[in-house]
Amino acid sequence: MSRRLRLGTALVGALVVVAIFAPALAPYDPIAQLDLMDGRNLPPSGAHPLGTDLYSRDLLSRVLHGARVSLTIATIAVVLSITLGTVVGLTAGLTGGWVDAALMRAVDAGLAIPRIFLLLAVLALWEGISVLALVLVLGLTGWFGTSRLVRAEVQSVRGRDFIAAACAAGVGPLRLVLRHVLPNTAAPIIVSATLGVGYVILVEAGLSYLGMGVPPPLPSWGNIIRDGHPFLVLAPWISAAGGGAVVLTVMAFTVLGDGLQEWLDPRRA
Amino acid sequence: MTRWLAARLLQGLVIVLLVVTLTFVLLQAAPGDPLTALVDQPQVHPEVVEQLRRNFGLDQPIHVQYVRYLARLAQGDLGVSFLQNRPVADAIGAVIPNTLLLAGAALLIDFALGIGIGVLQAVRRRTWIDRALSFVTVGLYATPVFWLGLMLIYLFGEQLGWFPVGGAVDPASHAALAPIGRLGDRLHHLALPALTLGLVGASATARYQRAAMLEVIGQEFVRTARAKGLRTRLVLLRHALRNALLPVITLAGLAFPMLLSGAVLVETVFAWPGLGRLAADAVLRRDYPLVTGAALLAATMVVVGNMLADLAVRAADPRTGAA
Amino acid sequence: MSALLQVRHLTTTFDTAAGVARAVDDVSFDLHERETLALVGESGCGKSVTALSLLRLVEPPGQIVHGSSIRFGGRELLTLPPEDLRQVRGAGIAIVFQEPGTSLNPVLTVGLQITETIHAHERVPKREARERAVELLRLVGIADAPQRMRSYPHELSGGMRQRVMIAIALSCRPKVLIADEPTTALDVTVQAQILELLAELRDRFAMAMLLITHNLGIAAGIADRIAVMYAGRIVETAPTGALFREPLHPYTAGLLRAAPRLDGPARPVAASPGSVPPATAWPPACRFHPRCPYAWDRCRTDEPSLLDGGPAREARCWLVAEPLRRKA
Repeated sequence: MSRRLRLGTALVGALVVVAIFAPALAPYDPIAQLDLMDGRNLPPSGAHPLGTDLYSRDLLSRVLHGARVSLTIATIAVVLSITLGTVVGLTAGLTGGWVDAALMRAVDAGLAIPRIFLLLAVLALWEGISVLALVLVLGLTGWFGTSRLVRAEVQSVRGRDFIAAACAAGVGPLRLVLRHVLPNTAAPIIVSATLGVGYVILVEAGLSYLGMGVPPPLPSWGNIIRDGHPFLVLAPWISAAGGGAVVLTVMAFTVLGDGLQEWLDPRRA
Repeated sequence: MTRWLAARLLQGLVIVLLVVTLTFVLLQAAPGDPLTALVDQPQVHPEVVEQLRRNFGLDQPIHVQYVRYLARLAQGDLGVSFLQNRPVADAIGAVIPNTLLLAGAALLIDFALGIGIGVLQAVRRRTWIDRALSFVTVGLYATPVFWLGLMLIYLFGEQLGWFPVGGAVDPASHAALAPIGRLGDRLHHLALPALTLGLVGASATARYQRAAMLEVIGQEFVRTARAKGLRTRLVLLRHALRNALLPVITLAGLAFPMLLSGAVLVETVFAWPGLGRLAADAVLRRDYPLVTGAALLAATMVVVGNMLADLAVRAADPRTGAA
Repeated sequence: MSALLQVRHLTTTFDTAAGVARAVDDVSFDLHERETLALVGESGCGKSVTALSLLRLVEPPGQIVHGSSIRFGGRELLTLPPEDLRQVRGAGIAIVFQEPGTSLNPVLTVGLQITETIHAHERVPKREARERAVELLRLVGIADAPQRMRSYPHELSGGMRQRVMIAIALSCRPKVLIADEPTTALDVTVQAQILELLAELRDRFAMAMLLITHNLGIAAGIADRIAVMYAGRIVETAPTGALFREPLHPYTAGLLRAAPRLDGPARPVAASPGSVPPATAWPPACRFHPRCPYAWDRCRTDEPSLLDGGPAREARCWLVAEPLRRKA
């Protein structure tokens, strides 16, 4: 296990722990407005290690709970995307012919629309966005890249001799897929999923910043940054807290993803 | 070459068509229709609205509407914005140049920095420079682009006062400036947003470039170049980099969507009057024609950009029959 | 007369996951002016690494071990400053690699790849370099030389690409030409042509040549002396004729037996039993003893050095000291 892999695993592990135990770790309730008279926009101090925001909410608690929100959303969305992408990729790669061509053109179209534009266009249809809707939309718009990846893997595996051998031995198509094709595609999918979690966190943060993501007062790192924007000069720590959390988290997932890449798929590292 | 070009154009058209279909579906799924705004106006008689509906074919079956939609698009009619009360095409047309300017400047910074850092990392592989730069690029890659913008505004705009914190021009003085002054004003305002977009893009480019460079350096023809006694810089630039740039240009084409997505956020942060900001505002006000029109245009820009990148690579690589 | 190229105790190691591989282990030989020496051996014996080491082209995790010496024209190459080394590469010692397909840059024209070599070593005007390049292309037997200057490698056949490689190698009139398996990647029909070309150019340019090959037949056709390598060491050197008439080392004998011959009655092709051991674990004492039909206890305990086997002949084998043990 390379150093990078160890580091990535440790960091992501720590983040997961924080996300799970956020209620226990956070000193305050993240949506509690503690002192609207004197407690707004306080700089970091002993009582509030990251300061407070414009509603006198403790930032450390909001950031910790935000970990929970952001990580959960990103993980579920990525699982959804990977599943969908794998199914489509397998179908396209194994079927070939016009089904393959049609699916891949659809994928090209999906990849052509910049993610945020696509998300905005879809989210615009909702009056009020729930976290569930957000997860679904993120998941349903994120499978294009995976499908291409899986399809490419399937095609390369398909041509190999052991597939022909298994086929000749009478192995049925489903078993062929599950036992022979899928294990070979596992490595790039895992790497893609790990890096994907980081990417979705960034996307979700962007949406929340624009006001189209996690609905307030539920804390998300993106809307913490949004809260801090008007007070950038007076209380820069608000946005800094949200942004710093994103940077650390995405870095952790990227390092883990790179480490997994080296370990599982070295020829492409 | 021409055959490839024709095939590629056709492919691009198919993709745009698919995107168009998607936007049509989204528009159909949206509550209300283009005439909803009119219905709310008291002086408009409901029967008039019904007549208009029939005229616009809004009571027709969906496939007829689809064909009409395509026809309108072909004529450059993207519908009417609910809230701006003018054609979407006009609204978008007014702001697209700003986005193109921003994206172009960002791409320049992206490539200049990204390629430079990637090459440096590859050449100094496994030294402290490589490690330090890796840390920086991963860090930038992990930075939300809008947050980077805010931090840059805070540092260079507010605290140091070197750059303006928003807008494309200075509303107060711009009109009164001489042409050269106006150019300077524009550039002054362009600096931070372009830098923001460019830096984040550069982090990804640097990662690709490093990998591509390392792969090429390991190839035998680089060994031959060294064995011939060529100077190291020549070996790197003429032999290694020329080959390593090809995959990076292709990948840059694939990064166009990310660039435009980033533009939405950066334009919002910097109040830059571009397509992205228009789309973001339109969403909040549920102006569906405008949002979908913007998405469609963004996708078209991506398709065109990808084609140009592919063309560039094809022309640059003698193995692909550039004749 | 001292040799043009003097290699002493050259040792090149590689750090691998399985341990340190001593690919080239204390190799010494001389190459004299206008002489052709063939370095012969199976794959894995270290001959290609030897060639790369001569020009210090070995990349990490490989390294040339301290204590090695490579003297060219009286100068020690291993301690040469970078700029001087650069001048030696291509102009003093030139090398032709095995795979012309991957050894040429695919995005540059053939002409440029020749002229840039000239420009790297001599200050000549562009026109003159171009003319020389055209002349070189003619010399290596490429028709339509002026047009071919603008060709890209992928537009040429394997044989033509190798000719271009040779042209590049000769462009600055080196004193030594190293040819690392120059014909292995080519069609059989083309192989002979290239070898003939090499021999002819060697004579015309009065160069010394170090030919690396696994094929004794090729070596026989072109070399004055042959050095046989096994397991990172030189196990026998002899003038070509003498080697073929009477090999002193059992491994050499095995190589000769393994080559099918057309000039006599059909014999079964005899392969030496076993295979080349990994470079991370050379056998102790005589490295060939596990596969040698003559091996006795001395071979298993003491490694022989290169013993004198006659005029200009050496062999790393105890049979040289105890010839009576050679049974038929």
